[in-house]
Amino acid sequence: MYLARIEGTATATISHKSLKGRKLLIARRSEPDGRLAREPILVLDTVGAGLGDLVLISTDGELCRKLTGHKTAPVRLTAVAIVDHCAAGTAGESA
Amino acid sequence: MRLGIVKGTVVLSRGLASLEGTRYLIVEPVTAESLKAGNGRGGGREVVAADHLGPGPGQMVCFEEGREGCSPWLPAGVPVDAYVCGIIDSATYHPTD
Repeated sequence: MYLARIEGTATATISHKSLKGRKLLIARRSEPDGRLAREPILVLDTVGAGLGDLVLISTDGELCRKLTGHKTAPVRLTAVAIVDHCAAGTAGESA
Repeated sequence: MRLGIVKGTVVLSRGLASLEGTRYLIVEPVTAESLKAGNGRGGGREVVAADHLGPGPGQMVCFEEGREGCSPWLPAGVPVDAYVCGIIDSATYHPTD
């Protein structure tokens, strides 16, 4: 899992059947200090994440297959939580 | 998934039988800079992705990489690890840096 910042949305009418009518979120992987990756990613959403939200990304393809209801869904990234705050260098503290 | 711009096609001569019947596209990943500029360019390092949707040169697509790239063939196994999942109609993008 890793952190990402939500920066937009995309739609694809012509798509694999598992993605038909599904809103995709455009995000960029974020380091704990806030630095963002050079390339955006497209992810499914389970938590109603919106523009500017910092989210937790899971790369569990099985979750995508369950979410879309298609065993052949060719996707593996999902926003599974919205992050309240993130503090680097504080490992060991409880949530 | 990542976003990519279709740059061309790859035609196979001899290969594994399981690769037949599929198109292979050269896809250039789209950087945040290119997406923000809306210039139709990619900017990333090109990959070859299997395709069943038929996007044309210059069109923006989304593609998945890794184990899920061959999911559309299940339960058959094919050695594909990049697959074009959709042709992007519209994208709104507001970079936060």
